[in-house]
Amino acid sequence: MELQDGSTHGNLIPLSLFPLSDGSKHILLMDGDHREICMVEDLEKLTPTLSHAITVELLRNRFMLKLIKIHKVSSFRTPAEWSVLTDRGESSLILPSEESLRRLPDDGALIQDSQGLRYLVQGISKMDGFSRKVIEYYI
Amino acid sequence: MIPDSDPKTVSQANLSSNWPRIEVDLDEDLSFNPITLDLQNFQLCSHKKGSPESEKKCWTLGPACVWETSNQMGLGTLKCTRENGEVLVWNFTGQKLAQVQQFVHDCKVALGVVMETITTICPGCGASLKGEETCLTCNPLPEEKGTSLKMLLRLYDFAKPQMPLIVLGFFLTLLSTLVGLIPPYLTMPLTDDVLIPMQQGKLKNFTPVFWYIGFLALAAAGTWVLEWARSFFSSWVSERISANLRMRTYSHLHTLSMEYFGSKRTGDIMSRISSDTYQLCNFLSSHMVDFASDILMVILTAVTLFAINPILAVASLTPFPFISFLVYKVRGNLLSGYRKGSIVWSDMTSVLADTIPGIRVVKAFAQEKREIERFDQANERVILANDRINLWWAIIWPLISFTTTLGLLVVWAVAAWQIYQGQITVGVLTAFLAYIGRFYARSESMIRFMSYAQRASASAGRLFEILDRKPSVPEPIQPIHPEKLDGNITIRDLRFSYGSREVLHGINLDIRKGEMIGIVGPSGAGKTTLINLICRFFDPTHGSISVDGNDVRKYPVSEYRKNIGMVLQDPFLFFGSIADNIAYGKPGVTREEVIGAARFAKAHPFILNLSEAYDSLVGERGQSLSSGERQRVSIARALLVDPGILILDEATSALDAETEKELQGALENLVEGRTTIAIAHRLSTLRRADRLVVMDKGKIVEVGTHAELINKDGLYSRLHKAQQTLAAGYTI
Repeated sequence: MELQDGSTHGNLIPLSLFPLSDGSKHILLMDGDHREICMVEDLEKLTPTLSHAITVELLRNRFMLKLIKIHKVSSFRTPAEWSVLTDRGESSLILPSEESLRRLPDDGALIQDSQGLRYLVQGISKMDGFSRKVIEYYI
Repeated sequence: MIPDSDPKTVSQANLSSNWPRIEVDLDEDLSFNPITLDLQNFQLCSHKKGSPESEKKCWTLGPACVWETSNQMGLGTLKCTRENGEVLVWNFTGQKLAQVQQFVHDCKVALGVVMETITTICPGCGASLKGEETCLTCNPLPEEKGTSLKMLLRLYDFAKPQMPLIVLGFFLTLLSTLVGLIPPYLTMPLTDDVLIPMQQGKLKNFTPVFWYIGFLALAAAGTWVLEWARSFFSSWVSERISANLRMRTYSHLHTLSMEYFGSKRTGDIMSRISSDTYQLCNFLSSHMVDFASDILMVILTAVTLFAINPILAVASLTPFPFISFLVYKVRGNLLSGYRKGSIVWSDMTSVLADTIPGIRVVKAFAQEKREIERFDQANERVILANDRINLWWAIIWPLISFTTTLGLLVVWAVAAWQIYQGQITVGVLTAFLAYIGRFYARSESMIRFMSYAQRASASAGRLFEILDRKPSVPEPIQPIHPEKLDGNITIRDLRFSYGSREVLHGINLDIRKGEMIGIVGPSGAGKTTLINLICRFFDPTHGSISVDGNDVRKYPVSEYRKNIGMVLQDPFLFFGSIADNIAYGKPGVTREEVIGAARFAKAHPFILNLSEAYDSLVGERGQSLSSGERQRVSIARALLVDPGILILDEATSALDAETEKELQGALENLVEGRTTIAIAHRLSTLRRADRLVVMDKGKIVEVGTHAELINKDGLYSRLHKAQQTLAAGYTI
């Protein structure tokens, strides 16, 4: 990858500085020794190919899915299996306990499933009725 | 490294037609899109579901391929490095890890790589397990917790010792219910045989009225005495059941590892043991008994009503289907309302738990207003949640009263008709009305019981959640009793993961008896984790720690820990006298020993200056000591135990240089003749160490004496230089 100053770098690791509140802004690129190389202020201002590449690499580094909709839950009692729609496709997760779901500021929530996989929920009040009901049951 | 080829395995694999095959659920963009991997005739092919056959990719693999699986924050990675150095990578979600590990194992067998027998894999997360250990990686999913009824039935276990008294209590309940049924029954002859004839002028004698009133009073007195005995016994029993529950939960809590306490809020654990057991006690002592008596009353009343007049009895039961239907309809709403209520309540208490310890910061930044607002918001949510519950009750109660009133009207109508027909007397109607009043009241209280039961079962659930948690540091089945350990420590290929993140990657270290080892390295290098493993606060995910030739897992936990002394960065003093605090690890020692230890730890002089010397109260609510003084107390505490192994975890980091220098003498007395492992950021504090172990990113990178490491010009010498420049900077 080449920067504006002409220097080139390989094997960069991106890190989102505000992964929960605004994951597409303030992305730090570091080299293998965790030295800061540059900061991407806004992913959306990059070319689609570059922003796609960085997004995938971000995920590889700190995997987190965005939860869009909850189709079905096996039970309101935990552990429960949920089938959900995420920003990366259909999936299912196991909610191990009630504490695996926590409230975030600004109408959001973070779910951690039994594997440690994280699901970010943004704008609970804008979700469909069932999804909202399920999430509000726990927080 | 090319593993030896085992001809037998190869031929077996070639013969079998079951070539390994697996479906990973993420594609190269990490979207959910299954990719099938299958190995056939040394060719690994990857095919994305739904894509044309032409996009299938294949690679030839040999036995020298290096396979690797990992799970990082729920993202699993399968890596296969081919002989030519090319790395193939696939991703999957954590739940597939066990399957992928099995696939890798099958591939290795099929490719003719000799394998050690695969360790059992945790069904919850796929991490490898050995023997009967519980999986630390995930704590396998508990079985389905069952219904709220089951939760309450589990309380029976705790009630068993009180069984005779419970039976007595039930008997008393039955008796008082029966006696309670007498008065309405007496109103029947009172009306028919006395009052009505009297009104009609047929009865000239007033004495029967005295008799009846006397009987009624007697029945009331009987009910009173029986009720008294009943509630006394039931409170007595429930107090013991909940004390038993509290005790069992608390003692179980002490068997749980540090991991559990790290993941739970202190306030939450405290509220489970105090307020949840209180809730249960309340439930068992009053609501439960009331419910039993309600049921008896309702059944017996119904029987009596049918015995007196079946038609009227049926009429009086008409509101019941409606009430049951209503209750059934709102049950779910009420239950989730109560849940929500308790969640927002605990949110509100967490605001308190957050701000009160941080009050200095709040005041320093003048943010009182903002904290008040935060509390106000949480408080607002409590109001909202409770409003919802109240709304439902507000709807349901009047409806129930309305239905029962309607029922009463039906009874009046039917009775009037029957009196008109001459089938029953006015006395029967009076008795009915008296019975029905009770009947409806009791059924209302049964509905109320439903909500108490839901609450109690939620409390029971929270307690059983602690009780069901298996200790993650299990006691050995065939223990070796360590008595006094010398402190020869051998660490072999030690690995440890917090959740899915591995923090120690294969540590090997030998520590001789009496040696002092200093562990240095940047924060996050895994120093404290290593210490925690040596202390057996956790068990390793892989590898072993042996002390005096035996795996530490073979020693009973508490006997082993008695051989370890710890001096931590922030020593904790319990509320009590200084002498008690010094003797904490070895209660019952003589005063001379306490004083001796204090002298050795150089704590004696400052203790003499306290107003009550060794009897001075310290800890929370006690006299406050400076951090240097507290550290001396904790050194004395460790000295008194006389452990073979000593852990100093940043023991002097919180102290200023001068205090540290003063403490050095005390520490040297402590370290003398013991195997010592010391962690320190300030490298100067490790001058006395025989060897220094430098850790970085979960690995040991350098081992040697101070001089050796300085000459080596590695991480240690860099750290050393950095600290020296820093120190020089301060002096300027």
